[in-house]
Amino acid sequence: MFANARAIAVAARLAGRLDLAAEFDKRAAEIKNLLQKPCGTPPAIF
Amino acid sequence: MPHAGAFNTISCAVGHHLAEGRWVRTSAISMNTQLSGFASQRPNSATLSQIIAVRFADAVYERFLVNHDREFLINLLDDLVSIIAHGNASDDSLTVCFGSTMSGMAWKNPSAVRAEKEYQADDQQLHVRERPRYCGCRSTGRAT
Repeated sequence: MFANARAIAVAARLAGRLDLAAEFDKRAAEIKNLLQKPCGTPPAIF
Repeated sequence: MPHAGAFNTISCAVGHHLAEGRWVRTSAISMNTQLSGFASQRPNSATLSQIIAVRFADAVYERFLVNHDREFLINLLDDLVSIIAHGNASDDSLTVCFGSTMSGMAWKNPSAVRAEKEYQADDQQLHVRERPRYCGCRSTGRAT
């Protein structure tokens, strides 16, 4: 999903459609944040 | 399969196949034509849910990075956007696409969404429980 959003953002930028590029840049950032947040491991306790 | 298209084809791996196909040098297979046809067709909702879950737009972009066919990428842009937009609007089970779930993954059916929520609830409970203390030896990981 992140890669799809990023790809569309790049294609939109190449096409000169900056509004669309900004929208999908934002989506990509949201997906990246949502995915990475729960993937972080809790600190190890020794 | 319920989500199959013409000739019982399914699109689960299409992103991977198209992305790896970018390295094929032979012109016997016109990958661009296939990509155009695939993106411009309007599949049923079940098939669409499969398309959204795969890296189709990314596969087109990866292909562009190899062959530098800028025109082709730009021409497909509206189709790529419409696939995503149609998927988000057409089916309740697809409304979780693009980050509505905690993980941001695209669950394709309500039962999968429920399963993720239950897993998250269990995971949160696990974190508030007292964790076992381990000795410093990582190789054995024995509890002290």
